[in-house]
Amino acid sequence: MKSLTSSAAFFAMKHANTIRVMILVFTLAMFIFAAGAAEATGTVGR
Amino acid sequence: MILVIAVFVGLAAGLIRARVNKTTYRANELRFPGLVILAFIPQFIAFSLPATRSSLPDYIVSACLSFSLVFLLAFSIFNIHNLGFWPMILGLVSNFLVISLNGGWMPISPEAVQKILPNAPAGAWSIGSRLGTGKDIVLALESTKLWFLSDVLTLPEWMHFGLAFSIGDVLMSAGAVWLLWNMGKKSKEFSHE
Repeated sequence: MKSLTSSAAFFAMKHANTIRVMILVFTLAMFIFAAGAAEATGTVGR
Repeated sequence: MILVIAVFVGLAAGLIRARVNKTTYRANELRFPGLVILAFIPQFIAFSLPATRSSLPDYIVSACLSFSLVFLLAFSIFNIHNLGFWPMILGLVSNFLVISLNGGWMPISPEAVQKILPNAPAGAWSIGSRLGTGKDIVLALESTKLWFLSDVLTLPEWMHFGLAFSIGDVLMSAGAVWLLWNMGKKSKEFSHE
């Protein structure tokens, strides 16, 4: 259990920047999706 | 969904910039990202989830949209220190303003609807009614408050893709591209900010 936790911590430290970038991109995509109000042909009358 | 493409364009451009600059693609710190999730959930239920998007009454959907925009505005204000957010905040405020002044829906002109749905069967849409299950309501320009902020822009015909969007959408997309592009700049440039 201890080694699993330390492996997870090591993985998080090693990939901290990638994880931060992924969170930012995901948050931005959600922001744009929710704040935007564009209407495309495919979205009408779904 | 088309606006999300701006995020991926910005991401690709930023990653290429980081590679050219031989630097790490670094994320800016976001404050209270949970607010975006809180804003996204009611919109997902109201506009995307097949089980609810066509069964919820319009007044609840409209309330979900306004509620959601308030959370997004709060998130934007908490992140105003980040320059990339400025055009996005401007775009959000622009969309929020025109939606609030027109009964909680984004107005779209009949001319714009005809452009994006040239083959729609008779009765598929009408002036004064919500367009499909989206955020838009069809309103004549003369009865739209701040019509220039509504979905009056369309893609040129040669692109063969029906899309109506607002100035606010353009500003938000530009802000997202700029923010993601700037994440690929040299570390020295970061330290000068």
